[in-house]
Amino acid sequence: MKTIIFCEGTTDLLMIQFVLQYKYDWKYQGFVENSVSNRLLKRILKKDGDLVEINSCGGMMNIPNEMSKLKDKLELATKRDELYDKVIVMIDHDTMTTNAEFLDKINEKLETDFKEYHMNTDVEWSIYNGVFGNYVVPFFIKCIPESETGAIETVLLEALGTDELEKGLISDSKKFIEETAENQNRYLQKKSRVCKAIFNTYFAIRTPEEKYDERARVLKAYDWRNNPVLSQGFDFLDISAQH
Amino acid sequence: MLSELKIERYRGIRNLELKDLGMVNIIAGANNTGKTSILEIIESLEAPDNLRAWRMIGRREGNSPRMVTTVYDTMKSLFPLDVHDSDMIISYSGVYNSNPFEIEIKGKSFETIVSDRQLDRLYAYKMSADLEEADNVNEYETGAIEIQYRINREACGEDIVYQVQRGLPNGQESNTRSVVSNVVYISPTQHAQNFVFLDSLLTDPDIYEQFVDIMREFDSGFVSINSVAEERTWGRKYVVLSKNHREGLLLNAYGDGMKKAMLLLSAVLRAKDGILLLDEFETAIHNSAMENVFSWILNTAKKMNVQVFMTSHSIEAIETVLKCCPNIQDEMRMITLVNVEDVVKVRNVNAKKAIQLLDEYGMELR
Repeated sequence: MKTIIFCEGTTDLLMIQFVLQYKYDWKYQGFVENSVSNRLLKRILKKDGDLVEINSCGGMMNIPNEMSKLKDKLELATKRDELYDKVIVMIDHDTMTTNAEFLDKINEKLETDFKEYHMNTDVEWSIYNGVFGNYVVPFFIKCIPESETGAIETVLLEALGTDELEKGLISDSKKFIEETAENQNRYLQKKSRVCKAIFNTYFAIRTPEEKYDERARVLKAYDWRNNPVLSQGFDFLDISAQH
Repeated sequence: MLSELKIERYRGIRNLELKDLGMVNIIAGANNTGKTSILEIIESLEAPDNLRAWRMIGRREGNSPRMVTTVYDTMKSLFPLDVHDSDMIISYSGVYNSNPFEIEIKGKSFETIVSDRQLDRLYAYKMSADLEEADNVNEYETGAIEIQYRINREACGEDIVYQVQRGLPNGQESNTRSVVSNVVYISPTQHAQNFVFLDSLLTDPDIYEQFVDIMREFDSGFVSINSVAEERTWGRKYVVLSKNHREGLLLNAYGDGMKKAMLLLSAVLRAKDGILLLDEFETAIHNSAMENVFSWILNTAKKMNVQVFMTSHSIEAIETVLKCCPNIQDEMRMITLVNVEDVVKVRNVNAKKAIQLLDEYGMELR
């Protein structure tokens, strides 16, 4: 089974990778990065012959463009192993209107008619391939958090507060960032940006030298498999079970 | 230019349709998807009602001294496989220079009896060594195929080939109706027979000069290639003059790469105002020479009004040809044949899309 996941940025990509690796036992295979900017573009994981490709798109509104390229690939593929068995999109919930705007652009690029009620639920994406004919790809658009505005960091911060000290650090980070957001109107104007800033502030305390691998080590140490918040928030990534 | 081709029935092909053909068409696909069959059908357009032409087309593999393919075997192999005798039909159609055409060749196999005299006339295999007894008229049972040709729904003649027939007798041939007046086919190994269209090379001094420049990539001292009479055999041979050698060298002294380049370069000139068919075009040409050779071929093809069809298994060769002439990319098509559950399907994209599939999407073009 071959799955492709589109997410907004590198943090999202890493979070998805951690969940797949440490909760669902996928094995890391490799990465692709932009040779000029060194931006991480995708990571590939494997499990029991299945493959997952996680693509970071550099922003939510770039996701429809990347999906348009995927549509091109799926329409022109001549080998079965060039096709995908599932497509997942994961986006933040920036504002209450973000989802509608996002879907408008998806529908424009893919010539589809997805509605907001199609989000966070399994739907089908029909594609015509010149060699294989009509085929249907299972499609899942995950909006995190589902009902309130925020970002993936919202869920992660909730999971990371494992004791009173960590909860206190998160709470203090949150207070600082929210006050900063209220007292000016240049930065942190979206809830998702506030969540990311809280997350980064907390991690700046945990790993002040901003070393990527140190942050990764911290995240790796968490009990991903049994953490109830992560179990509920990321069950859409239990891809092997869905196959 | 051939803009569309539909092969309804030919060998193992059923209903294969090629649309939006370009000035240059690269055809790729796994083995047994019909690449060479497509070239054979296009080649037949020069003389679709001519048995000798079909014999040349179908006998592509040549014969070794021990393995002999008769005319009967050749013709039978062209008809669709695994069909009843009543379904022995080759049919294809298309559009050439905006003119639609339809070709249908019907075969009907039957058993018959032929005499010694008929066998002699048919260049048949002798059934018996003892044919000096003029008083005996020997008769032999043999299979045969009656072949009827129709072009654009008009009957254009018929032929009969016998199972015992070794070749085609010389004789006056009926007029041939051509759909395409000039088609040149180059097989993967033709260069090994030291074959060159020398007359075509000598038609234009500028083109000959460019040809010499390319030959100097293989032999830095290359001066010219000449056809020289062989006194003892009254034949002719190709001799290459080079500053790197004291005397002229026979063409067969050179490596396959140079001979193949020479053959391809001369073939594109020979195919002026017609169609050039290159089967496995990359054979014998090293990657380092491919860009220059094919850049010249494609640019010259455009100047000489030659439509090119080329088959390949090599992704390096395909990529080189797609990228060697940016000025022609809009007129270039990448055609991939795919066998899906015993049916051959076609993907046909332009060169720019093919390059995107390859470079940006990492997809397979073959």
